[in-house]
This record gives sequence, C-alpha cells and structure tokens, in this order.
Amino acid sequence: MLINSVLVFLKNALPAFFLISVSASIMEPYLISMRSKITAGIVGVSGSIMLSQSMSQLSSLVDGIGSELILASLHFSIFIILLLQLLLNLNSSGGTITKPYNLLFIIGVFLVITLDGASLLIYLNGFWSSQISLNSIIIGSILGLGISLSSALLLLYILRSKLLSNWFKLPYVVFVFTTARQLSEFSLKLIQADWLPASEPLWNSSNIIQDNSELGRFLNAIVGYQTSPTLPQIIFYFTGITIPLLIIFFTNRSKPQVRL
Amino acid sequence: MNKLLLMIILLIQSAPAVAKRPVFSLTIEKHLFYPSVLIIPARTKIKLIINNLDSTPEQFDSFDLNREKVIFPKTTATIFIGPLSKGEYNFFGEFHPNSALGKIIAVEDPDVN
Repeated sequence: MLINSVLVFLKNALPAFFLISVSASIMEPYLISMRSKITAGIVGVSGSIMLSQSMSQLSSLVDGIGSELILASLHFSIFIILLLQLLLNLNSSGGTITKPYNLLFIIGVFLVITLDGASLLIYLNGFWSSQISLNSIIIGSILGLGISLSSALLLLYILRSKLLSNWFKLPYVVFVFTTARQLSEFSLKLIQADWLPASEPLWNSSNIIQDNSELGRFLNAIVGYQTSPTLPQIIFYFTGITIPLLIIFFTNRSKPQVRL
Repeated sequence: MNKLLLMIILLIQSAPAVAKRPVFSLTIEKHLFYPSVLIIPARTKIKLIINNLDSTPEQFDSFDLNREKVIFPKTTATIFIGPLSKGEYNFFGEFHPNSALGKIIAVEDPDVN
C-alpha cells in the first residue's frame, strides 16, 4: 500500500506541480505577490475539497458521465488560462500589469489544484474512513508529495537557468507542449464520455517507453505522452500546440521589441 | 493527407451512433473485478457499466485502454471503451492494484454480445 500511495500521488500531484512550474518559468517571478501565492494555495485546496466531496453526486449526472464532463471542462479552462497567461507575458514590459498577472496566477493554480487535488483526496478519504493501512498510506502520500514537489522545483530551476532560457527558449518550448497536454486530456475525457468520436489507436509505442514506467509518467506529466493515442487526441494535441505558437508568432510580429 | 481526411470523416460519421452501443458490465467486490475477463467485439465502441459493491472507492484504470475513472462506494459508473483492435487489454483498480486485476479481450466474432 505504501508504494501504491506513492504512485497515486506521483500520478496526480506530479502533473499539477509540473504545470505550475512550467507556467511560473515564463512569468516574471517578482510580479507574483506572496499574497497571491497564499490565496492561490488556499482557494486551490478549498476547490479540491469541495470537488472531492461532491464528485460522487456529480459523477452520476448526465447518464453517468458527469465526472468526465467536469474534468474535461477543468482541463479546457486551464488551457484557456495558460493561453491568456502567455498573451499577457508576451505583452508585459517592466511589470506594469501586475493585477491581471496575479489574478491569472490565482485562477490557474486554483484550477490545477482543484483538478488533481480532488483525485488525491478521494483516494485518501476512502482509506481514512475505512482505517485500512493508514500508516502506509500516510507515509506513501508524504513521500509522493515530496518527490513531486522536489521534481517540480528542479524542473523550475532547470527551465530558469540562463543557458536554457536564453539560447534554446526551453521554457516556452515546454510551455507549448504542457498547454497542448491540457487539450489532449480534454479530448480524452470527452472520448471516454462518448461526446467525441473515437478511433483505434494510431500507433503503440509501449515497446519504446511504457506509460507506467518512470520516464513514461514523467513525459506524460510534462508533455502529455501516451503510448497509444487516437486520432481525435492527436488532432486536439496539435491544435493545442498550434494556438500558442500562433500567439507567439503574431505577438512577436506585431511587437518586434517583445522579448521571447 | 487524403487518408487522414478520410479518417476524420469516418470519425465524424461514427459519432451519432450513441444509442446503439453494446453494453457490458463489471462488478467490484472485495477489491476484485467480476468477471475478471470480459470479451467484447473488436472495432466497436462499447458502454461499460461498473458497479462498486465495496465500501471504499476504486479507480478503474487501464494504460492499454487509455481510461481511468473513480467508482465511488456502492455506486455505478459508466465508461465508453473502444473501438479496439483484436487483442487483449489489461485493466486494474488503481487503489488496489494487487488484487483488482482484469482484462478485456476484443474479438472479431460478432456473437460475443
């Protein structure tokens, strides 16, 4: 149960922490106030508690696909927030737009923690109420949380390093893929709910990198890697890549002085 | 490019057939799936209804199927799966991965319904 708790936390907490790190890597750190960070954390935890408590009822809505629709809408909302953040960041100059910057940060963190935190709370709550293997679950959860947090901090450090950010524009490259992941997850939930048509998987790369391997989990959390995606997922994923790239392209063209 | 367009058109055409999905059922009891092997038709999207009889939640999870869904205690959940090529697809309960194991076998024989 200990290892399973670590894995459950890695699966849910890692994408959330990575997303916050990638998002923070393109933002000017001094523009986000401590008050906004604390507010974002509090509203995020509150959101995940509320969602985990109501998910059982919500899940049975719309002929049993309520949870898919809620999760899909959360992924889509995060996608929109990331695009707005990108737009704001590309147009910012000298810290003149701190209010919208902080507001977007709070909304983004709220959505991310609500989405992934709710799954963790459902897991913890289930075992807490039944008092089964509590010690293993608590230790496993702390380990999983610690690994996720330290990995995300390491990622942020790497993305903010001068060499990678100045020469390869790595933060923006990763940001584009992370943004696309949200649209891919959005499509996956709608396929699972039968709101989008599905196809047979276009390929299967499990012989190269498996979904449940460490590298597979890492790549899924950061760029949305999946071994056997379907055509609708691929279409949504590439749409998710194209839109931020177009934003970057047109912002740079209209404002040549904008720093990338 | 033409092949891709054809696939997109076929996908869009397949969307309205929601009411005709074959329905299959699974039950979770004492952290085990019943039946542990489910045979379904290949190349057909199916509706899978999962009934959790336990007092703890379970998460139906499958890397092979690209599906995951929490099934709350004493409730029923719906997941749409496929269309799948002929073959075997493993699934498990993420909250009890050592006991809650099963597989879906997609076969060409249309009489599996």
